Amino acid sequence: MGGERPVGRPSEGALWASVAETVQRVVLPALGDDPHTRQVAIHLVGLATYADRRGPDPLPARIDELADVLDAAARAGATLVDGRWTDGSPRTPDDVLSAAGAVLAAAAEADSLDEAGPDEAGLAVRDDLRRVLLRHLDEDLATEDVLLAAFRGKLPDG
Amino acid sequence: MDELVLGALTDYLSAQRGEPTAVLAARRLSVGHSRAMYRVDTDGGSFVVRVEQGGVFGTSGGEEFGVMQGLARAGFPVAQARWYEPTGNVLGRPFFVMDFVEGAELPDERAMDEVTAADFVRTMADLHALDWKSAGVDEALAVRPSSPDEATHLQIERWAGLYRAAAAAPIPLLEEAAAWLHHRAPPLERLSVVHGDAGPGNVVQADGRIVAVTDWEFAHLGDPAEDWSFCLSMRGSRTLPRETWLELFDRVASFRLDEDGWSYWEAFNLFKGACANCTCLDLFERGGNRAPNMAIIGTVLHRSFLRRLVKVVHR
Repeated sequence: MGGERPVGRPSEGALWASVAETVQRVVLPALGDDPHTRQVAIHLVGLATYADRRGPDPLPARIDELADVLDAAARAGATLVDGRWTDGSPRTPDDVLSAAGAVLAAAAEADSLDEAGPDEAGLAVRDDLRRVLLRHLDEDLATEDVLLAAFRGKLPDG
Repeated sequence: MDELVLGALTDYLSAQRGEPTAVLAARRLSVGHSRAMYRVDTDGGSFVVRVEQGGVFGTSGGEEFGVMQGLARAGFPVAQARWYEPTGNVLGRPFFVMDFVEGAELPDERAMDEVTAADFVRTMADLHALDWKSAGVDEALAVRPSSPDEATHLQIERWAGLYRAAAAAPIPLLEEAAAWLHHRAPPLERLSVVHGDAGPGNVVQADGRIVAVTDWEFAHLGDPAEDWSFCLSMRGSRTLPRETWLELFDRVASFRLDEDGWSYWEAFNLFKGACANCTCLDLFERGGNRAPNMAIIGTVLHRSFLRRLVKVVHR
């Protein structure tokens, strides 16, 4: 019986699904022709559907992944990381994301000022950070696809 | 608008016009994100009421109002901006009132034929050549470059500063893009008034002519290339083919850029959008604006801009 279901109260997923389905099937058809109100209702359906489907917050794992890249670059002696991160620094989101941004900005500057660009270790940490950050970005965009559809006036699965 | 708001607006319009004014009809014009716009028909004329939405995109109705007044003084086609209410005491949020400008009803707000597009390009070229100092347009602006070469850097910092203030944590790919933009900023010889959101959808058009240019919240002094690129790669990208826009820019405005130049300004505009969109998630989280579109713009719209930006920067 039950499995993962909460006992005696509705799950988060069921609550959000109820909001989405009720707005879509009951509220929206009764709204009439006003384009603004209809668009807001579609946005709300998208938001509730997203809330239901998005899963746990990926941030802690992502911060660890970025910190691993920065730690490795610091151990390898990458000059781009000098003064921006030291191996074993605290892994708070603000510290890690600040350091990643500073390293990428320094790489962009080196690339602009010096035709040779960053050194080999610098290029490696820049490319590793870019690869990880782009994957995170693409994962978020895939999760948020339902929001983009709602923004364009499309109902989920519709 | 509910009755309470309509009553407050009726009192406000009567006070501003100096005579009793009856509101005959009021309806929302569009699903604007940074401003709610209402057409208000009164016995003293038709107006548009443009209401701020809690600080979306970090732009100011006061600046927009002042820019529009300056442009009207210079003879540029804008709606006459009448009254600015900065306190929020009347409608709950600051707003300004401008004259309603009649235009063609379009099935798609970004629809524009080639004849009208040519007039749009001519109108934007006029804007870029306008003597903004004589018209006092700069007096309305919070960011005033002391030299042309400073302008693009000030704008990069303006948008970066807005994102940094709004986001819960730094966004490394935006920091990289800011550095990239600073180090590749093209030189500029003359400051122009830049619309900042130029293209189809932000004009009133009728009979192949641009009757008025609208939505001045992003206006600033800077490089006209920003506007041409915004039209080409953003607002006008599904209106006409790229080649058609480029031909119009060249033929009507004598404006052309090499591919690196177009890439730079595309990146600049994507950066601007990605930064501005951060304000929406902040407002949604803090309760300044809990409309669902705020969460949508602050997440997936922000990241869509960022994804396109990265493609240009990492090219």
